[in-house]
Amino acid sequence: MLMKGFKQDIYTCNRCKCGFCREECPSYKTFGLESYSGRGRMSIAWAVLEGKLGLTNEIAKRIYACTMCGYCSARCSMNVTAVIKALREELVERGLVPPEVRDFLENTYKYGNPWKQPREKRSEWTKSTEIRLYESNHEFLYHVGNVGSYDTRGNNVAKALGKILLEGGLSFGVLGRDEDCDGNEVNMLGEKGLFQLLMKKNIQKFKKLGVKEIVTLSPHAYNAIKNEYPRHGENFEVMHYTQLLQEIIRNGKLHISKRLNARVTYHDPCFLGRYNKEYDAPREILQNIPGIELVEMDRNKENSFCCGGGGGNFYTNFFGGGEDSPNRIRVREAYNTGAEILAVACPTCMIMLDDAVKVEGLEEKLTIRDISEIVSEVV
Amino acid sequence: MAGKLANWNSEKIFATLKNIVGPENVSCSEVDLIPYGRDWSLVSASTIYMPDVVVRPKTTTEIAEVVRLANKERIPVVPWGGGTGLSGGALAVKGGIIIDMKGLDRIIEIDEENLTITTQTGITVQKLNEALKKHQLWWPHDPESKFASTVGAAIACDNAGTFGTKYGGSLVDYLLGIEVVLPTGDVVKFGSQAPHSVSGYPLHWLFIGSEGTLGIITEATLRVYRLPQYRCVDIIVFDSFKSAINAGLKIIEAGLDPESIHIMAKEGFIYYTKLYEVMFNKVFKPPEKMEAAMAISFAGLKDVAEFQRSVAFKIFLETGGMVVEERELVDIFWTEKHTLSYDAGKNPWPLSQTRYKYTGIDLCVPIGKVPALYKKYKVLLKKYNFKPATGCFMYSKRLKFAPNCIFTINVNDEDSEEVERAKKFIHELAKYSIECGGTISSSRGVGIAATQSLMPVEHTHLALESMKKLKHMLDPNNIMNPGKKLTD
Repeated sequence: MLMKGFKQDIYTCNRCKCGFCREECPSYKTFGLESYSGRGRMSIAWAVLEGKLGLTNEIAKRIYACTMCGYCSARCSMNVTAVIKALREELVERGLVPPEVRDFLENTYKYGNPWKQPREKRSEWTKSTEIRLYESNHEFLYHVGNVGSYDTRGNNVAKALGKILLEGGLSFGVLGRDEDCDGNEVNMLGEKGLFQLLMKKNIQKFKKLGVKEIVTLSPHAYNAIKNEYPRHGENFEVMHYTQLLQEIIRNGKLHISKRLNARVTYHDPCFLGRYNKEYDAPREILQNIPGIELVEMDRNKENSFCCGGGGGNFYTNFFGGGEDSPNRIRVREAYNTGAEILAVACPTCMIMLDDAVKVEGLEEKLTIRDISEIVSEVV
Repeated sequence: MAGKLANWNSEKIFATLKNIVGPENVSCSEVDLIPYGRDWSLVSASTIYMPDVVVRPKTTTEIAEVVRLANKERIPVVPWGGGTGLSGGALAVKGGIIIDMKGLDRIIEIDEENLTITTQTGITVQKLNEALKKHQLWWPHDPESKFASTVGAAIACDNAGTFGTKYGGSLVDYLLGIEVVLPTGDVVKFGSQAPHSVSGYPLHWLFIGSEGTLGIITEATLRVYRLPQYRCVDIIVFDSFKSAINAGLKIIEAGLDPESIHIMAKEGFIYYTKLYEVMFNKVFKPPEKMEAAMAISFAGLKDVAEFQRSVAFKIFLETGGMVVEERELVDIFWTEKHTLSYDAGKNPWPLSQTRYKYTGIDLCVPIGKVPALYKKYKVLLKKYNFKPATGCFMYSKRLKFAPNCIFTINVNDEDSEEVERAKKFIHELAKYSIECGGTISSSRGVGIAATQSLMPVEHTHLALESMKKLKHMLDPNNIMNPGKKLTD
């Protein structure tokens, strides 16, 4: 059993049960019962190891209603998210995943994206732009990802970043129809086999094309390529786009020429922040824009609160959209800072929070903007 | 519906509970019940106390309806706050309904002028203080469990923090009024916002330390304070517990007003010196003869706090104390103790909880008897073959210097024989506390702890009978947290 590798973590949690992981857990906030918190899931893992509980669909519901945001692991010396992932891997092996997860995995396997979209559509958004396909003499591969490629709002973010990179005179290209899912969500959902397949496919492709440096639109892809791909012996220089923008603003390649008079708050994406400890680059970019007043939400950086879209939930939507769903809680928190713009650095966060702003009736008061969109308007 | 509730009219009860709190806030699924089956109390690694059903109400009215139903059907009811208890107070040892109080987490009023807060009791101590901080206020009650433990549990267990020396550590010093759902389902308010009253019996205080056996506390009005402008903290090492206590007493006698006095055994202090090594790559060598360290803080206006500090330093010189000069070490202690982000666990040392259950007992004896109790602890460690974990630490639970002493051990909870041995160790140390004129629990509650059988030793037969009569009057069907504190 995969979880046996985490026996010490699981038993440690169950002899202590301090519960420090619980209070800001997004799924606990939504569902309210202990079984939907980090500590509760560690109890479930303990009961499974103790033979008190068999793996069932009931367990799967609790285990998959987790955004893998990493808050619990940040609050604890035990690797709670790794235990949850191991539980998911166990559930996948036994065919006990919820139908929404099954569909996501099947579609990603068959179509390279979760929405059954044809490959040809992947690069449609580039048609009206000067963004070109990657060639071996390019400095960077611009990895767009599923959301940036297929979702209309994601397209806008992808275009905005493309415009900035062109403006900065950078040499880069996209893979277009040849781009595949990076596999971060597949990995987080516990489908090890499919993740290996996607990763190997991507690694082979990158090597064949002579890719050395990658810039990603999504922190999810950044996380997979930075932390998972090297485990298979392949190291690509990978940056999240905010890190690249920070660099080209610092070295003067990108000149910010306009003002933006606005009070802005920034939401840390989990896979950029907690998973990869990048808290400064997005803030530095915003602070470099004249006229922006950056204010922080109560929960920021390592204590940031997930938008609810991580760990596959952007696709599976186990949280529904009720008043206590994470994205709605988060936009209310942003609104309470008095900000007019909630800046994000992740297309998934952008869509999750943009949806929430509409449901909360705050469209007139709070706008969700990706940092790439903000920067593209001031260069 | 499985378990003991199957003996009752389970289907009907479950349907009624769904009606009261909404179907999404009630579950009898094993997956949802298991996380409510354990807390931090001393039980073997495989032990679990399964409730039959868990409900998560959001209002006092819903709680009252649930309790009324339980009383009618004679079903045990167990309130659950943070689930961080060290004596099993929130475990459903007789099955029944767990009422998860976390749904009642709303602050009702922060009264800046009158320095009070009225709040629902499912809010965590940490969240309460985050809200107060925005008004430059704080509730100095500061248990280490504050990130998870609730205001309701703070009252029901009367647990402790380190600021008792100045503000009082017991809830008696903070609690002005409460709203309670009695075991019959009646909702009653006791006390008020008045800082003091003798017009009736102070029944709000009856619920302090009641461990969920008399009713469910749903709202509380608490005394709060302005945040201090300035704080200075020091650590002083002593060759014995006795000299550390003596220094503490002399500080009070001198008219100083320390905010906190925390005395810890060498084993506990070493925890922080090891952290210091890990974080700053520097070594602090405690004196060979050292037995205890005192952390002391003064707070208020800078001049006043610093003046008091300078007088305290003279007293430490007279009482054989050595002031720790390494400021980073002092900061590590304070950060760990009071913001308790549990970062210590992220460091490779100590590994105690990854292999052992960190447990122990909370005792209070007259101040002069603390050294004797500490000596007994050392003797019993050898007798029962236990390592001292973080040793003994003590701080004041009431104004000035009322010792709340925690004695710790590490127990291999995967070895049931060792767990039983640990219970005997705790039992014997607690018995000695009674012999010293002390008590078997000073901050964690009795619950189902190994000390429960000592209740008739600490309290006379008539005293216990009086308590049982009082309990019976409020809870005629013994539904509220049965099996805890007082035995049935």
